[in-house]
Amino acid sequence: MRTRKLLVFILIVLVGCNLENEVPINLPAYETQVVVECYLEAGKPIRLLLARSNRFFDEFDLSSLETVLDESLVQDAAVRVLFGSDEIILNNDINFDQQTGFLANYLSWERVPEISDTFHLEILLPDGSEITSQTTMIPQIPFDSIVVEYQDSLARVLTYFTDSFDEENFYRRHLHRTSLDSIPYQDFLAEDTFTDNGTIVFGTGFEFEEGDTIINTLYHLPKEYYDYLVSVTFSIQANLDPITQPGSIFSNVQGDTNPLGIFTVLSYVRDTTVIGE
Amino acid sequence: MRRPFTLVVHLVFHSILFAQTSTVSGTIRDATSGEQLIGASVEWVGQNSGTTTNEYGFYSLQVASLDSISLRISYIGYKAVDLAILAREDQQLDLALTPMEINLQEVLVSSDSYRERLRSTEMSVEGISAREAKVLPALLGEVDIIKTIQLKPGISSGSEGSSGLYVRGGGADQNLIILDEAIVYNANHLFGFFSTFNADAIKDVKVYKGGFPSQYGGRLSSVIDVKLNEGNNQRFSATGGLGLISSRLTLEGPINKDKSSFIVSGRRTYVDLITNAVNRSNRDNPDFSPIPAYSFYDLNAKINFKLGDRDHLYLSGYFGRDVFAFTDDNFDFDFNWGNGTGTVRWNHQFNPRLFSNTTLTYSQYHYRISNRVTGFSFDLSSEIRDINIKSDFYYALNNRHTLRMGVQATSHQFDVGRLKAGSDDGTVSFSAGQRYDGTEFGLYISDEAVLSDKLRLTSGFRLSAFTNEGESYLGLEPRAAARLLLSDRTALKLSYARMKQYVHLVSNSGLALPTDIWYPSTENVKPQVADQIAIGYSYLVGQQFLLTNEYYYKFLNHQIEFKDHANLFANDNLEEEFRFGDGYAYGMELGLEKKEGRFTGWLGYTLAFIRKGGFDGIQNGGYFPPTYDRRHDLSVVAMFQLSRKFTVTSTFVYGSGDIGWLPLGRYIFQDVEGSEFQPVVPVYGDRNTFRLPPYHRMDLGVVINFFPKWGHQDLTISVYNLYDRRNPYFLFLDAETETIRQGNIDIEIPTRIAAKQVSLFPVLPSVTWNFKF
Repeated sequence: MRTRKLLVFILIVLVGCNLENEVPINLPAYETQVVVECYLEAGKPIRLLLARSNRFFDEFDLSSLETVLDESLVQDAAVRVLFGSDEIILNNDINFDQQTGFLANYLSWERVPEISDTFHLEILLPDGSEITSQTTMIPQIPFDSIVVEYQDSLARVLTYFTDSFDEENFYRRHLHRTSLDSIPYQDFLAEDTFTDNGTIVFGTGFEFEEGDTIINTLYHLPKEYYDYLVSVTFSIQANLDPITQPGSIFSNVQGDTNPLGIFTVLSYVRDTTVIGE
Repeated sequence: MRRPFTLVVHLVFHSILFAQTSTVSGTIRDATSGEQLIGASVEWVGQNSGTTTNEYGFYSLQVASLDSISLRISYIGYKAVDLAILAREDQQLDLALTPMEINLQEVLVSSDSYRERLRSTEMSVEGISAREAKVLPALLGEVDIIKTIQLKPGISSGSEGSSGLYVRGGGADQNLIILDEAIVYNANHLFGFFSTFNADAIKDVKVYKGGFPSQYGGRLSSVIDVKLNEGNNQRFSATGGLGLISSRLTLEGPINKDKSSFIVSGRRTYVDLITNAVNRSNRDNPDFSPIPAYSFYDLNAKINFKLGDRDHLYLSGYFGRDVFAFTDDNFDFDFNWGNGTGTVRWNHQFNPRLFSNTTLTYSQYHYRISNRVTGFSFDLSSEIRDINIKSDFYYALNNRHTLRMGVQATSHQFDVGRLKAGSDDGTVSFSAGQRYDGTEFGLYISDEAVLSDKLRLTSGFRLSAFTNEGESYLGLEPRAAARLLLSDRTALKLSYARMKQYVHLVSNSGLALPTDIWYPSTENVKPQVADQIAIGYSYLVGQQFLLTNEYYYKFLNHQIEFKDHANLFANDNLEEEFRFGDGYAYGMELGLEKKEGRFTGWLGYTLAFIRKGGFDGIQNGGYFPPTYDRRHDLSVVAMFQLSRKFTVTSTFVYGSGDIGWLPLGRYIFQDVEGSEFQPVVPVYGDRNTFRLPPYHRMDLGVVINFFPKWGHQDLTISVYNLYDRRNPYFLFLDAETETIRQGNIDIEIPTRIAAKQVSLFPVLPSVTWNFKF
């Protein structure tokens, strides 16, 4: 990604005359799609957002949050999550998780069991159409070590873990400075193909000072979740630079109405390091 | 039914039938420099018989064995020579023509007269000379022969300022670019803004858009045949220039007068010298962020030796690099890429009718990205290396049949996405990459037949083959071109050519990136195939204008696209990212040109349609236009010699906007705890459904000549984008958001979306000082 940024940088900076202006355009017709976003985390309640996509030039009326929600959310659907012979019904309640910042309009306070099983999602929309999906719990991948190295008065953090050669694995690594409320200092997606001996490391530059709090999170991703994140990342990037090729969103939700979104398990480990301690 | 039999008898017993003939053969050269002249006309006066020099300056003409015959040797821009010779027996006649002492040298550019073009079966061919490129206005004053080619009908550029070539519906990777017969795999500097060709070193460029001669193969859409100067074998000279972003110098001269000569030509940019000085002066400033250093350079060299009356040896080479480096406390980053080519060429004249050209070439393109941080390193590279040997034979059977035949073998080595990274202590290491070896073969024969005064037919075929790790492909590529002279001013032409391409460029963007890699045909990746038919006419308007009008249709098979969000970066399973389909392209080209007199130039218009489809998993197999599907393309080029001192030039281009793939919808993605909230995730619809606004631009150039006591100097002033048109380079949809606070969490909501156009170049004046002595 750094190379890509550098190419864009050269393109713009060396030419030295990046000129930008607004132009009127008419986009081809677009039929809005239902969007699902739901993460299953063992021991946590199930929150699901069922919303609509918009035409690109649609604008929101911000006179009230209620108006925005009315325009965006798909209400009155029947939503349930099934696993084994059990099921959890999600109620149509708008809920805002103050800790994670996740807005949901379907919720169950019943906790996700700590089982290695496949979870099925079934949504019956008010118009009678159905959306389905499934995801399977995968194990956490522990950190091998988190190493702090110093150069003069500055430190860097090296995060080591070991990939299993037995299966195809996908990872996402977050690194936050101070707290999870901030934008990630690093947010990397990675496949397991680039390791010869199984050891993978994520590193930073010598940019941290004594007393800094570093929060490392390593997500072990199901393939469909990894593909979804890649497609989201590239779609956003393709709209901003001329190098990235656009493409469709790789969703793992299916239905007659061409829905979008992700229904996935979350499997991660997290560690906090204070520089100098 | 008797005619074929008669023709066979004619071919077999030609020596008997022409027992009373002699052959005049030799080479035609420039008297001042010794450079061979390509396409010079040798006419047997009064007999309606003649020939032209081939690409090696050689000609062979059969005449009656008479005491005396009259020949006229001519070449546009040179004084014609009339001479009477004794023709009782075969004669070696090497001639040197003197350039005309007129002030229009800079704009007298054509290497083939209109009459000769009417006579030839060749169609869909454009010729450019370095002189032509030098006087036209250029971006930042950098003379670029590829951008001059883009002004010809049927050839369009990619994005703004790009040196990419899109010919008759072909992609940028479907052009065979050869420099002194060696393939150039990436003919770009600075991500395509400049080409690798230094105009000072170039003698001649010929572009084939269709009707490909049998000697060419390996790419679907065009052949760009670039020939380097040989070096002045009469006197030493130096040519050079100082421009805004680069300087260049060419030295040439005889090693042994009339027998051998050399030319060395170099060019280098110097933006990095300025940025490095700025970085040094701010070394102690902790708030200063170092500016990355970028430069490119290229070097051409050639020597040639006349080894006798019948042999000539040439050695030439090219080496060019782009270098980008960035160093700060955390990074030691280096990114370099470039081409290298080498050519050893031997011309031998077996007898007055048989001439051969044997060539050994080496081509290499590579890029390397390396980065080093304390304790860790990263190194990614890709490379393609070719060793090619070929022999071409040119046999003037008689004045009605000229045979060309040859054989060629190319050994390819591909290093694809070789990655090595890890820690210095070895605890972390990862590597990727593949190596392929492939061998490409070609065997061809063609006959240019004068069937009557009005009808000429060039027919032949190329037999090509490719092997790679046990997988083999064989291809028969028929070629044919016919010319029917409807009057002494009008020629109707028709051609058909099948082309096969065995190596493919893996590029997922519309830009010419140095990280694009070449990939061979394999068991899963079939050779690309194109069949093109073209029909057209040429009409000589008065004595000074030539009008050409051609129509073409091209069938494209085994085309390659990439699946959505393909991972082309150091991917060991690259083929999984490929999708295969087909396509078609058709269009019309109109050209009007004037190449003699004080006012010269040309006008070219192209109407084109392109579609590709049938790709598994892409738009349900439906057909879509590629981004370079430019419906209308107009170029107007004018050069006017005001006086001995001043020449004014101008170009105007108009093209339908490029095709864009824009998002139609959007949605909000909250993501997991600790992630960056995404208020706008674009949802893309079908590929390439939106056409950007049209592109148009006018450039102006003024050449002011100075005539000091010795040598020649000029100032070339260019104004790029004269009327400051904001042409679209890239369009994106920009969302303005407002934040709503919910508890202690801020939520961004898009409130206004706007389409924004990014333009690269406003009006850009530049000046270049050129000298020659």
